[in-house]
Amino acid sequence: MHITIDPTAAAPVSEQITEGIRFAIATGDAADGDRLTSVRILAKELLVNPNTIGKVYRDLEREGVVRTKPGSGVFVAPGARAICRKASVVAVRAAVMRAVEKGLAAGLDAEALSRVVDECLDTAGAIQNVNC
Amino acid sequence: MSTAEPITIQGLKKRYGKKQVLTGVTLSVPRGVTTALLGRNGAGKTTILRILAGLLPRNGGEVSVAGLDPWKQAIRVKAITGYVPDAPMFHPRWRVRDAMSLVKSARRRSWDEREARRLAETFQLAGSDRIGALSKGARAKLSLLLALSHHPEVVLLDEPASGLDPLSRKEVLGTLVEIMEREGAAILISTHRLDDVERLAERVAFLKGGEIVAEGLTEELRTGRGIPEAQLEHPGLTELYAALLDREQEKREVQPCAV
Amino acid sequence: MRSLIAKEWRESRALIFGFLILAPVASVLIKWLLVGFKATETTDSLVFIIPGAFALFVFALSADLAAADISSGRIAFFAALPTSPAKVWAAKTLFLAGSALLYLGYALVVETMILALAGKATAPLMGPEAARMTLPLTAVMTAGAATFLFSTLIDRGFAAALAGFGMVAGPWLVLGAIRKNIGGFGIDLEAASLFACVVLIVASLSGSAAAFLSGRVHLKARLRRVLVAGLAFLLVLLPATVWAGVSVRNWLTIDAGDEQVRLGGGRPTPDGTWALLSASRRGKGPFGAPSPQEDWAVNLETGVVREFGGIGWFMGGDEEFAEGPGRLALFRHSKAPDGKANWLRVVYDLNTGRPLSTRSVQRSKLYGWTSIPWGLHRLDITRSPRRLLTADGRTFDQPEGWRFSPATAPWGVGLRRRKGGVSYSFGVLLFDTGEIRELSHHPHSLPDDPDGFAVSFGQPIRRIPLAGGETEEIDIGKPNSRSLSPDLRFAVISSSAGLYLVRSKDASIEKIEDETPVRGGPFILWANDSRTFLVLGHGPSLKGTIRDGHATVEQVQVSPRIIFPVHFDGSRVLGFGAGHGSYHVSELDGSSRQLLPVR
Repeated sequence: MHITIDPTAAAPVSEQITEGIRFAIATGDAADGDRLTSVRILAKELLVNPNTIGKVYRDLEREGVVRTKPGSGVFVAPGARAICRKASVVAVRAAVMRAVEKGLAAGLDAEALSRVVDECLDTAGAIQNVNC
Repeated sequence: MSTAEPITIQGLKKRYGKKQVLTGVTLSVPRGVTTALLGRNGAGKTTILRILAGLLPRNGGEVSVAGLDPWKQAIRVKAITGYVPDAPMFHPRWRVRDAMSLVKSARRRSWDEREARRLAETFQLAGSDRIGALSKGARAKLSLLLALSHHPEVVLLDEPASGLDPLSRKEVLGTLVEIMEREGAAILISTHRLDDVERLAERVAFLKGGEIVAEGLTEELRTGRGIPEAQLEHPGLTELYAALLDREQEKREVQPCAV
Repeated sequence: MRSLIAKEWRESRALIFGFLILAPVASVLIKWLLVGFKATETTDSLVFIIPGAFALFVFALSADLAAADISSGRIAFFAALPTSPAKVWAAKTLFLAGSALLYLGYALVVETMILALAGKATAPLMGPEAARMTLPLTAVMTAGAATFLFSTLIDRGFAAALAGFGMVAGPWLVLGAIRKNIGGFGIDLEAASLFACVVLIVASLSGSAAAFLSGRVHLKARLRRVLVAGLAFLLVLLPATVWAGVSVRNWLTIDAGDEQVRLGGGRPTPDGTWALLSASRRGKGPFGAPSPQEDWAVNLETGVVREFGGIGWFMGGDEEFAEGPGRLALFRHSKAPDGKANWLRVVYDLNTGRPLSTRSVQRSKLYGWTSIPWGLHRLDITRSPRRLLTADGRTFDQPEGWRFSPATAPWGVGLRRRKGGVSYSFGVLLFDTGEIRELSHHPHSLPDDPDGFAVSFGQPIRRIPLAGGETEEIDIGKPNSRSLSPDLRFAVISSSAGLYLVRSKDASIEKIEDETPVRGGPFILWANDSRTFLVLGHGPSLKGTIRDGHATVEQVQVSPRIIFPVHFDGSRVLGFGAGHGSYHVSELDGSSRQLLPVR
């Protein structure tokens, strides 16, 4: 899991961490049944209040993304990927919408926009294959 | 652990000569919660911490640390409090072990020697190190060690990571996160680093004009949710927040793979 | 506490080691370069070297003891710990006191060794002479405590040392000036100085403790610190000073209600209504204050007491009653602004106690009071050698080697001198010829004729022919008390064999009674007429009357039992009553009235 947090970004830290975990699950980084980093270790590594991590895990459990086994830890729940993907789609959709609006406002037409999207896909795909 | 609320401040007033620094501060920090105290330089953050630590008398209002008056029952309050001042003062001729033995003998029963050694190792402080020869970061870490080794119920930090090199800062924040997870202490951090507030503090209080103008969950305050309209109208609140937001941004990257 | 003291040690270690080396080095250098080893005196060590080294050490250590921590803010380190400021203060104080004492011991040892190596006597350093160091060392300790106090208030070490030094040097200079001008009232200045030092030490320690405890030394607000410390300082200093002043004043004043007063020298006014007494205290007072003296007139009828005198007052001998009944003339000695002695003669009305007139008199007119009565004559004790002023106006200086004895006759005076150890030799001085006749025994009573017999009281009684010849011994048993009449013409002696009368004019001895009222020796008092006497017993007493050179006695009752008689006027006795703790006037019929102390 790559989790990046920017304390000064618009979204609160807890949301950023929640997003990060969902993204990792959605992309397959963390598979069903995988054990997630304990609250203690994650808090230490991210330098974030453990209560915040705890809250994140509780929220995710409520959503059905993770499951807490007392004494064992926090695990990715079955079917989490689907839930995360759906959530990701919503987030991605919003981001793309903003880009599209920007492009249209800049004077690009639908075809030009489409070309831009294809180019991006090619470039990003290449990078994706290099990483973990 | 005592049953009383760790930190309760009600209408606190403090005056230095003619200058009225605190006009009526009201603030509480419950057990296990970390609260950040935000404010400009000179707003009175250090004053509040020193009053809580039993170093300053107050001119009005009520202050209670674990149900005790920090000025009148100073010894008892200091026994359960860990105070890290913004500028620790040691005699340059002291060695690390001298400072540790002084605090140990002052705290007698509550001092945890093993914890002290563990922290010393983490911070890479050797007993024979001359304090005068330590870097600023090392001295700050020593201060933290001395304040935490007795497992205090109340931790008061005055700008704990200010002016530290990135590595020291990481070690300091890491230790703070550890004790948050482990001890369930009430922690009050005075700072003007917004990123630290976002990371560490569940609650944040704004000190302006000698009083707390806004207080609440960090998340809600920063997004504007949950703040009563009246508080939002306080002049300068948004500018203050904005000014703090303008400070350097920081990205933190970690590579934990699924265990 | 241990780690607090260890902290002080750590911080002062270098300074202490420096002084450990400095003391012997400086001492040797001073002896070698300045004084010279040959000329070195052990007393120098006592008076200069050791106190000097001690002083430097104490100043250096106490100056920064509190100042360094306070000015740097390090004291806040302790303020945040659950350590009471009292502990921090106590650790500093103990460290200062302990180090100072250890250093003093070290300086003594080192100095002894240096002197021994230089071949000088080291004994004075250990013996009673070392007590000379007591005051200088105490003064240094006072300065040290004061410096510590200022170190807490000023938080600048050097200034604190100066202030501490000033606190001791200032009064010392003032004291020196006072001593020159006033002479100190005879008070033992050393004892008073030691007391002052101890008070100042306690006051300084209180002040610094108060500053720590309630003066909030860890905060920068200095005003509060100074006020609190000053208050504590004064709370010790003022009561102590007041107490000392009051004790001395109480000692120096005696009044008729005082039970501890010692009365003596009783003599009546010519009309017998008043008894003049001298009142004083036994021993020495606080700080060696001299015993005060007053002259009292006690009315034997009414018990009224008039107090006169004090320092500078004198009774005038013959002149006292010159103003008539109920009047008393006293003389006062004072210094005029031009430094010359000024004599005043003040006449008092005894009945009201008020002065009636005052006038200056010349010294020559006071001839009478610069001398004291000496039997039939007077003795001028202001001169050396002493000078006898005879009743007929001649003067004789005390012969060399001899002292005048109280035995007097119109024609001469007794003499005695020490022969070595406790043995004396005796003699008489004849005025007409200036001749000194040596005698084998002390002539207690002298005859009318210089060639007659003197009587020496003792066991046995001796009749000594003044013209020379064999001494006659008369056994009258074991004498246990005796008294000469004021005109020296008769003596009453009490012994194991009874009561005897001695007639001076012809050295005759006759028995009065077979039994003496008190086996151990009764008090024998004479009335001023030299013809009435009283032999005091424990209750039953004997009143004697002399007619035609012979004595007859009658039994009288004196109660309470008098253990310290003062005055007998022929019909009444003034004395200190046993078991009553006060002075009574007793009639001879067993009744009495308490006079003093006046309740």
